[in-house]
Amino acid sequence: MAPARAKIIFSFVLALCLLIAGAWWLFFNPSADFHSTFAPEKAKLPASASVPEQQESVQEPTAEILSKRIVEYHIDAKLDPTKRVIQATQTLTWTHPGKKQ
Amino acid sequence: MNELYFHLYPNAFASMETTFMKESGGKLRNDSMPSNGYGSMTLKGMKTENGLSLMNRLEYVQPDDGNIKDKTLMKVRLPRPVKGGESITLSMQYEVQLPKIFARMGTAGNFVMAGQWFPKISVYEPANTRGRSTEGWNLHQYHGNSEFYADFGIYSVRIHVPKNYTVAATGFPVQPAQNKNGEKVYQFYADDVHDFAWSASPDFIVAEEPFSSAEVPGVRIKLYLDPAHKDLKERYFYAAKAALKYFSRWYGTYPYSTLSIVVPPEAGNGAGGMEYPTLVTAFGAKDESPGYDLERTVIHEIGHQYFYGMLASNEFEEAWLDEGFTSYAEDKLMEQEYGVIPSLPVQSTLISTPAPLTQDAWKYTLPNQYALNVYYRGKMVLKTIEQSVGKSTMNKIMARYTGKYRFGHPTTSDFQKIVEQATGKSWKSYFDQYVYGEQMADFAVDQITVQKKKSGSNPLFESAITISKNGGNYDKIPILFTFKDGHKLKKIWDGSGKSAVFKLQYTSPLAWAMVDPSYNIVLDNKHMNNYLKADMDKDVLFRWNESITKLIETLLGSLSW
Ligand SMILES: [Zn+2]
Repeated sequence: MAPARAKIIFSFVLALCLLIAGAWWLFFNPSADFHSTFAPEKAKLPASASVPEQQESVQEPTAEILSKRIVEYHIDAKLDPTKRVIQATQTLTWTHPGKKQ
Repeated sequence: MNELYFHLYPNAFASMETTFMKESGGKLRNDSMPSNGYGSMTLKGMKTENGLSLMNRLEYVQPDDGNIKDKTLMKVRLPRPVKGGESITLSMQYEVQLPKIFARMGTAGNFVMAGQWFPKISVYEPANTRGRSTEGWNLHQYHGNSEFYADFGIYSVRIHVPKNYTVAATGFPVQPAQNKNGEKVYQFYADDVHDFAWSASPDFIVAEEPFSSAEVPGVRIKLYLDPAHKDLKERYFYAAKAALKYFSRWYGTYPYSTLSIVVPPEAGNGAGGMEYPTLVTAFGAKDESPGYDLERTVIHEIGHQYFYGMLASNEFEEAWLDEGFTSYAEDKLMEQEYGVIPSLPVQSTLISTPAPLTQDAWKYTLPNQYALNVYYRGKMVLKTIEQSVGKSTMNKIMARYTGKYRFGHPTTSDFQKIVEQATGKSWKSYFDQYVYGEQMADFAVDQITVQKKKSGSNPLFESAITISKNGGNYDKIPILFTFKDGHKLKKIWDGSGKSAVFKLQYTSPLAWAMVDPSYNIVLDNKHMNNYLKADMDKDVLFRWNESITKLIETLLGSLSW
């Protein structure tokens, strides 16, 4: 998860302001949007021409096994957005990775 | 073995009495729970392959805090034991009432983020996993400060949504979405992953681009944009490609065939900035021209594809192995790709409550303590190793660690061993202080006294400067001395002992001294005492002012956090 950067910046600015009785407040105006103020133009790439709607690609599983596959889930889920509900069934196969009987 | 355990994460949002809600106060990062935003999971059926119901064999357990109102972890007593190496198949039926988004999962208007949305089996650790001597379950509830830990496997998931919805998910669709009976049906598949998440919205603007490089055989990058960011496609794609390319070069090939990026609407920001296997979320789209936080978030979450996704360390117990390492990788790529250099001296100043990096995530209870330790202190610990061993050795350390423990659930001591092998020396003292312990560094100029040794036309002064070590050890501490005639002198203290006195004889008295004048000791979190003026030692406030001036001068050149 990404951290809450804005809040951390704000608390630092606040700490600074308290420490030095406001002298530097003009430099670190906490209401200003720091990032967009100081983000160089490079971050702002030009808008691209709109791409026509494309079909989502479809793929096949490969034979390569990279991890110790302990568990296999088969899930069927149905979203009802008006009720904020997911109804689901799942079949799970779990393989005991240890030795205990 | 007579029992299985399942995480029912949506129950974290069932009431204000759950462990998650009590610990978080219904707030994560800057997002608060909307009113009437509760969510939960109701198990409606659980059967064995023979059709035997297990519904009367279920029990909620609370190993971390004994809070009986918390139903995020469930034990199932089996009718007959499962032996080592044997498999068991269970079928389950359940309903998830989605919370309103503030913490990763839920809904915001039309937008749905289904993360941690199904009953997920806990991790059973064989002996020698993460250093444990006997095998057993690793069991934790869902906490305000904690993420996840799961085993690898296969997911085959069919998702039904209203026909105007688009679904983004872990893995890839194995057939085009079908429209039938007034609904749209997707069939997804993913393997070698330890979680499956999906997101749905009728508003997504979808774009897809193939990407390959010397290190990446071929990935389809899929973008599911909130319309507010429809003109920013190129920025998302560029950041994703840079992350895939360089993280694959540094930490091993990205082995999956897709990477999906979901950009939630502004109201769904609580679901933003989150990692799932092969699917990441950016921050909520509110600003039409956001700063580098857009790229930083995409890069951070793609970094997680390694430390969370493939290495899959235990985020309940050693969150820094995920967040600290990901933050380190993020800073490195942001600097290389966008020239954004983090202001480590500012970030370290924020770490007012250092705590061990190997403690359980929910035990960081003070404000911001989790984030400041696990993300910031964690990456500073890595940055300090890098400064000590050099970038090239550090790159080797990271490559070996990510190579050896790919799909391997490493622990902190595994990383320590890699550092020790790569450098041929013990790092016990460093890890004991800064990783397993709660040390920060703190070097200070304590006192300056000046004595006139000779008067007249050839005056001589002896200035005595006391430097002290108030925190953890550090090898070479630079000190800058400046005399009243402008003459400057640099010295290095080896850091042995609690303090050292430097006696300097010169034709002019000392004006000021500063320890670590360039703020290179990234773990030093108290910069206010780095600087002392010869005649100002009593005036504490003035000293702070001067120190802050020096700090700000250093920072103004590199304003990024
Ligand atoms: Zn993260």
